[in-house]
Amino acid sequence: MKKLSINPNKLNLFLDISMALIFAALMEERFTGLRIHEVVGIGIAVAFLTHILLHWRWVVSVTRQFFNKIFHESRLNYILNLALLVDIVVVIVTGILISRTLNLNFGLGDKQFSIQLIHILSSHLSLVIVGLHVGLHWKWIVTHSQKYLFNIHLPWRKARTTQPITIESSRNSIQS
Amino acid sequence: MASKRKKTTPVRGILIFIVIVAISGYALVATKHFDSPFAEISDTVAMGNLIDGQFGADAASLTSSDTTVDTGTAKPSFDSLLAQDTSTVSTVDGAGIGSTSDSSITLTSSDTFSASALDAGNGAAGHDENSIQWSQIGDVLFDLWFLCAATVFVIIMQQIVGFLIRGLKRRTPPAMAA
Repeated sequence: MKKLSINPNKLNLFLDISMALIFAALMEERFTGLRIHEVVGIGIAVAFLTHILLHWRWVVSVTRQFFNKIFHESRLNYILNLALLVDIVVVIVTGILISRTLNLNFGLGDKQFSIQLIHILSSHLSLVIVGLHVGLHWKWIVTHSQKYLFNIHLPWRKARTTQPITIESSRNSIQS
Repeated sequence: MASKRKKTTPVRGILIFIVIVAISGYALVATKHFDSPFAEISDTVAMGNLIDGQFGADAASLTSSDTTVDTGTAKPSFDSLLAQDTSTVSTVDGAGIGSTSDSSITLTSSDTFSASALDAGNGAAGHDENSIQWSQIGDVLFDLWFLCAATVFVIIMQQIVGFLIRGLKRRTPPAMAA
């Protein structure tokens, strides 16, 4: 039986790119329409959960060593990710509470409007935090996009493979 | 012999990326798709304050009489506020809540009052809620652009902070550093 192997970096890259594109579309409810906004919103909640599970080792290791070295880039990353997690949870929960096409009637009454405001506010805030989250991982994105998306060879790899060949060819040219 | 690879920042790639982000940002401004999330956040907060404060007070005064006297701070339910047609009544300060040009409130009762209407303003009215509106693609592109702009911001900040830290490390004597 052939064993199915998944490259976690490749999976992460394609999941993250899909999430970013869907997230941008979901930010504009006028673009998707309410039905798609709500259904895909539930879908992206599952994608967020998958994203966290795929980075669970990092979460555990940084949580354990958080106070060992406070002034480190990963600590800033951790705090930002925590803020993003809280914000996204607020967006998803308030989104479910005010949904109108999913046939979920929570009977909010007067609180409906306040929850809508919280949903809008937290969603705009999430755009800012997601932007910073993407920005902090730009090196990872560039490296893995070159590797899996555009299939571009990195400069040092190119140098390793091409250098001996050029030396050999120059010798031949001298001899001839 | 395995040579130690030095980490280098792809300066040319970064510069190209910054130029692309700048040009696309200019294009978004030119096509009037530049809705800053910071402005949206402040607008939403202002709306929340309006609902909690002035709007509640105004509505309380409206229920008692048609005059513009601010009589109390009691906050009626939102549904009851929507149920009233207050189009003929002016607000306390003479300015409308719904618009800045009119001196009247133009709230109307509607069963489909939603976050989308709040978010979209006047343009949201009457759009099909079950299909993709390709005319709104510019707003989606703005959100994608914002993610790229935030990335540019982080890259620049990283370079500045990295430069400062390297400078500090060079200045610190080895004995102190140890």
